[in-house]
Amino acid sequence: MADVNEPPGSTERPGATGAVAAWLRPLAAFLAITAGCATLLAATVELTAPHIADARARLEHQAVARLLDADTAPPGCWTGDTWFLGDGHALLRGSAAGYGGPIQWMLVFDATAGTPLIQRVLVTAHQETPGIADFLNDPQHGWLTGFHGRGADAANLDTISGATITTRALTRSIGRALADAPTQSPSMAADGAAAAACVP
Amino acid sequence: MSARREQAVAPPVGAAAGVAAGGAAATLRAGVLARNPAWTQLLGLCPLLAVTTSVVNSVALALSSAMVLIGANLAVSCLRRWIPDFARLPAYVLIIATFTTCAVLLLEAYAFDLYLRIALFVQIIVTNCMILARAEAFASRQPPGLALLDALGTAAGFALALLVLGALREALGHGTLFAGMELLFGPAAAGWRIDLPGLDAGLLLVSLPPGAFIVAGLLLGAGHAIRTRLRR
Repeated sequence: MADVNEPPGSTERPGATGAVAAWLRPLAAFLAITAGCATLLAATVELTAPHIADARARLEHQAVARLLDADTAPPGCWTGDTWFLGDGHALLRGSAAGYGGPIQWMLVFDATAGTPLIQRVLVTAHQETPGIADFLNDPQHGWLTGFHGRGADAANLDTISGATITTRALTRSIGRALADAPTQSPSMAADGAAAAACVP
Repeated sequence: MSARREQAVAPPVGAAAGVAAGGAAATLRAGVLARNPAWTQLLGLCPLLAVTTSVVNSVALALSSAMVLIGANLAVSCLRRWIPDFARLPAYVLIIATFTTCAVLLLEAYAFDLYLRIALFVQIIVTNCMILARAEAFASRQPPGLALLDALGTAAGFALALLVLGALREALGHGTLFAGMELLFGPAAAGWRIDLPGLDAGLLLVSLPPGAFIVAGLLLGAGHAIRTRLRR
């Protein structure tokens, strides 16, 4: 063996490469398992993605129907976070940073007045403390109806003590969204026509 | 490395009992009765207690758990000679997490309303000791065929526990049985609902979390009493 003639310092090399090989094989096996798992996951995502998108869209349409107190959602679709209904009304949706996570909300507002006026607010999803924040689930609750008739000044709505973070997050988020909401009815009517084109 | 491990089978306490006895039927039966994951080993109690407010929830969790169990046991068994010994737990967790994610995605795609109700508890199947225990104690030492039977037996045992608890709690808590099965089996299953006479109001406590502990405790006690009597 050539190694015998090598200087003493390098005699450990075969052992070292052996150790490397001993590490390499399990490492490669582990990586291969990881790759296999990733492939299986990718295939499942590929299979389920269209169904999941359908189901989520259905859920969203149910929420819109609930917000408008209708049996089904009107034709149209979201343009960004706004949904122009074409009759001077529009929907807004957004997310507030609540106490337990994002609070998803949706509202319908009248844009024919000079400033947008909220008509109804619906909280579609939240992870706030059960019991304390149960009022979010009821669109007829006194605090949520306090938004009605307000515009960007919704940010000034009183909070509920004990649920301060939850309520302040909502008033700020809704107030900010309303401040940026489109108000001109002519452009909205035009947008409404454009929105009607997105009906499947 | 793995060959050495297979020789040095030191069955963890209570986990690999019945393996030595051998036989496919014994492996299958052990998972349901002698080694029932919920009632004998008290594993997987978190989803068991949280989800079993109705039969349909129980069925969904049983199916998801079965899918993960079978997938993980088969994969671990097939790969047992390649999974490096020092990294076997990360490998098992990786495999279990993959199958759990697949189960969650399938539930979300094909039973969305049910997904909204119990998704959290399907996701935490990944931390279910029952599945990791089967992978480590059984599948990593046995051929795929036996591992599959073991997974089937364990899944059936878990499903049995889920269904018994779910049916009891739905009957006592809501006065119905099989309500909402259409969430899982399509509109045709809406007619499966049975309204139990005299229980229409239901005991609210039974469907709340404390009720899960009370009913599960009574079931455990009853099972223990029966077993003690049989042994005498």
